[in-house]
Amino acid sequence: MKFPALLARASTPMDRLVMGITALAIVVSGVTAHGKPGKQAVVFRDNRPVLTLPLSQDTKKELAGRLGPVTIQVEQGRVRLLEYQSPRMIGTRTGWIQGAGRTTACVPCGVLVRVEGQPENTPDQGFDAVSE
Amino acid sequence: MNPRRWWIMMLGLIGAAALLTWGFMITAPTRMYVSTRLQMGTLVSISTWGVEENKADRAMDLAFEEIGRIEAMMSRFMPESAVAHLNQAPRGEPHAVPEELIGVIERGVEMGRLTRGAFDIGIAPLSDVWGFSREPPPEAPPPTAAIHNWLDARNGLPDQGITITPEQQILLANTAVALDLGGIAKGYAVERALEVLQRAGVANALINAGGDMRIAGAKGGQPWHIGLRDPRNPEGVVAVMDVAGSRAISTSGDYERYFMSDGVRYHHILDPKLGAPARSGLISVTVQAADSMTADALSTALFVLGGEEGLKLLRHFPGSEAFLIRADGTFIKTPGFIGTKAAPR
Amino acid sequence: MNALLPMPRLRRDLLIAYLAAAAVIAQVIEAALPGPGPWFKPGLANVFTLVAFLRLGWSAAAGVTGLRVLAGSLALGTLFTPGFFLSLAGGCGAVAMLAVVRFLPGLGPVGISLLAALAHMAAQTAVAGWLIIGHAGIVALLPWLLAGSWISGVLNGLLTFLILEQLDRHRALLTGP
Repeated sequence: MKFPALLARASTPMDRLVMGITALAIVVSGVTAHGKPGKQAVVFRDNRPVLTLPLSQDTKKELAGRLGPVTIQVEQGRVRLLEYQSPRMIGTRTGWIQGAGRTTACVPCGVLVRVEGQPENTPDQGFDAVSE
Repeated sequence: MNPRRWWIMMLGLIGAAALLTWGFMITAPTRMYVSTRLQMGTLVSISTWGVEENKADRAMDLAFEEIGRIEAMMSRFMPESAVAHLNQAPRGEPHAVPEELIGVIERGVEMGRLTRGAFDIGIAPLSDVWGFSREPPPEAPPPTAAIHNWLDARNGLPDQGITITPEQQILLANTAVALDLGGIAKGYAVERALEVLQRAGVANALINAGGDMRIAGAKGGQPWHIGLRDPRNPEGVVAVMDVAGSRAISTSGDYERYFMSDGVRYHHILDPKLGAPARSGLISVTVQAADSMTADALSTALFVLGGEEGLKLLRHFPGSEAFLIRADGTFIKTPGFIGTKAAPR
Repeated sequence: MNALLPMPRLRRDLLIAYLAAAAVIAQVIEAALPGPGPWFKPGLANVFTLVAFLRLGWSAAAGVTGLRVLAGSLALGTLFTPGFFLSLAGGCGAVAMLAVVRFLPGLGPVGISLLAALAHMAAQTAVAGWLIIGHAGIVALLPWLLAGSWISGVLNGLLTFLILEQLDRHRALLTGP
């Protein structure tokens, strides 16, 4: 038996209405979810967003920090802060970050980089926070 | 089709969709929402659990705002802050400051008394002599004469040279005394930030402000899972604290801000009696207490006093517990401290 | 099913047990099939739930589902593992949807199967995001998962229709609720 014929015989008008509505709802939700841009990092200077970098594009951007230029590097879907050397540059300690919600920062420069999105329920080596 | 039946069907479908949506909404808050900002010279992170994203975001924004407000009043590095004005005011006469600041100073002076001077909120001039807040950080210790001058000027001053007058004004004894509220103001700020979160309906939260941590509630019945930084390995963790309920945790270490000179590590926790970085044999002190101001003051004081003296002091603070790490890597843990040594990786 | 046909009248509870047994077999066979993980299974076991629902009523469908989840996980050795709870959640979601469907006139096996399959997947995904900590990202995959469920829901509905067509020739066996 041909499939369309079987479907026509097996389904009621209401069945077909439900099929249409649910298919439409799934497609619409799929398109809205898919339409969201890929992962990106937001760069904050003094807690104000100044730069958004898609992690899909390798790049190096220089930004004027409070104490001089700070370089932000994106490579292979990861991002890090470069060059300014200071024991308080938390960026040097964290190195590359890539997971949603992860941050790296140069505290004295006033520069914070955050990967968009919310972290998994237990971020940062499985800890909710590290006391230091 | 019978129109009435059609309407019943549509209503049923909409009802089913609403039921599903509702199902998702009640499961959604079992997520953690984290927000991070640069404030008070450190990274401040707030985590919430059990409220949906918009509510969490709004609450966290308000909490950061509150921290910003307190920083603008109590940071000595902000030229327009009440503390900066007080530090610049002529010595020997009382100076009016906001009531809120009086409360924090009062608490700081009290902790100074209780710790017999190991904790001291009046040592901004000494910090400047050492220059730990300079950027880039210094590479050598200051001349000993500068330290001795400071020690002499401070010698014999009651309450570290800070007086709160009956009119609720502040009197600083001389120019060797200037406020550096540092950690205790941070402790106050996270306490206030937690209050703001709770008023906004967030019952489960963790605030981490570089060494000062404040915890409330839990993570869906699970305690907050907190690591304690390995003082000699910035990637590692030496202990694990699984804490639920209302608790403050503060860590003081010689590894946060320091410089090496001639093989000696000069760190930023100054012993007011030496006029120099504390040399108590401890490299990391973590205190758990009921509130962040107490936890912060005690972790600093214990770091300065060392293991034996520090534990004696702790006995005067029932409910406060400590984890001390010595330079050789051995540790002391008081019986009520919530936490276990982490398995070596 | 043919083995059952000569019997003039079967007791309702026995029928439920037979349908549940058939569902467990379908589930075990499906688990053995190679596939892209537990998410894109055709869910053949649900066909028997639908048969129970359409000819014996909602409580029978709930019974078949409950027995299938329990006995299926016993057979597969997954009792009280995360997989079991996912299966349980999916079953509950589908049964809950069937409860709603009772008040929707005009629906045939295809529409009912489709709605039940979507509810199954939605409930399963919600529990996966909640129960398996750190997998909250699975909710982002929901449209894809639901699309898969849509297809399998329609196919299972057709299958249910064909089975009912056969069964209804033997009126003694199964009668409408």
